[in-house]
Amino acid sequence: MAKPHLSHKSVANRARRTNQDEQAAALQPGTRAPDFELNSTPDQKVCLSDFRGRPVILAFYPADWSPVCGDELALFNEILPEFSRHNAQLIGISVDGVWCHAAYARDRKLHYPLLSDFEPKGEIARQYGVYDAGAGHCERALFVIDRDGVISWSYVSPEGVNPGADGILRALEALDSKETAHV
Amino acid sequence: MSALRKGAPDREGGDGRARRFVFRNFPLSQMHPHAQLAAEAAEAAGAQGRFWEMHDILFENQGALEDEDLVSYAAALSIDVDRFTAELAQHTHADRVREDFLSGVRSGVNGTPSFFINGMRHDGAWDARSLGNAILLAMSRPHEHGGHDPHRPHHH
Repeated sequence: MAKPHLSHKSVANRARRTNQDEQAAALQPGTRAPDFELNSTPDQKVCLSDFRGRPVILAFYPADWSPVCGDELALFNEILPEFSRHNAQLIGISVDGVWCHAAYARDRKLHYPLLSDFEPKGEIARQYGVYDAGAGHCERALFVIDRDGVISWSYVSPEGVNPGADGILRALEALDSKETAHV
Repeated sequence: MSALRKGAPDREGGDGRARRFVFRNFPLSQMHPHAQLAAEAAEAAGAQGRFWEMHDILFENQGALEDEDLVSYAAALSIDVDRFTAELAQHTHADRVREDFLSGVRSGVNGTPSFFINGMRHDGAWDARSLGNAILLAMSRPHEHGGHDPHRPHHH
């Protein structure tokens, strides 16, 4: 039987890497979250260390405007009150430029920052182990970082699947119980 | 959508197995400003025994969900319009809608619409054939059941 012909390089790359590989490549719980400084607007930058003392949710995603990403980001937008109950800050990150982010956030009425991992392209996503070099964009990956800047949970979603927010909420609750236990 | 639902009411199918179609509200009110009130309208109609009828009207009229439209749909269903209007004004059913939404989030709902078959989220296509096939597949595996929050039945 003839083998399927993989003529496109990125298709070949994706065919070789399974979701399990992607999970393993992402930074794991217990690792210190790499700090970064990225543009949130054309004039303003945001650093992860700005939020030390609060849990942070990092949502890496492939692209503004694409259908699955739109659903995921819209969902998080609806759940912001739940994230706020844990005093958690949500941040979206993709390789899109600042003007694209501005237009997209306005169109979708998003109430959290979108950061541009633009130059060097995908550098922060690489540091977190979630850059899809074959496709040239971030994977769809979630990180929950504790108040001290350590990753407490990470998850890479299979291609084309919106992961939902239940994993994030469970991770935030686990952080809260850890805090209560130490008081 | 109603074809899918009518194919699987709370009765036995041809093979003698029971099926149930359960609905939960999941309004994305930032994206769809009318979604929340429309969900409350369906619940208000449901309180008078006309949930599915209102659901179907709303589904067919997604471009017409202003307050006046909702009231006209209630009138078309011959329910008590004064009671319906009062319940919308007082947001009597808002808590129920929000509870559905949050329980959905906890169960892995990731957008609207979102389909779960025997507790497992269906990440495949939403056309009738794909959903039908997924249901048949699930029925061929009677002992597999994803664990999530127990669902309150919502059919009148």
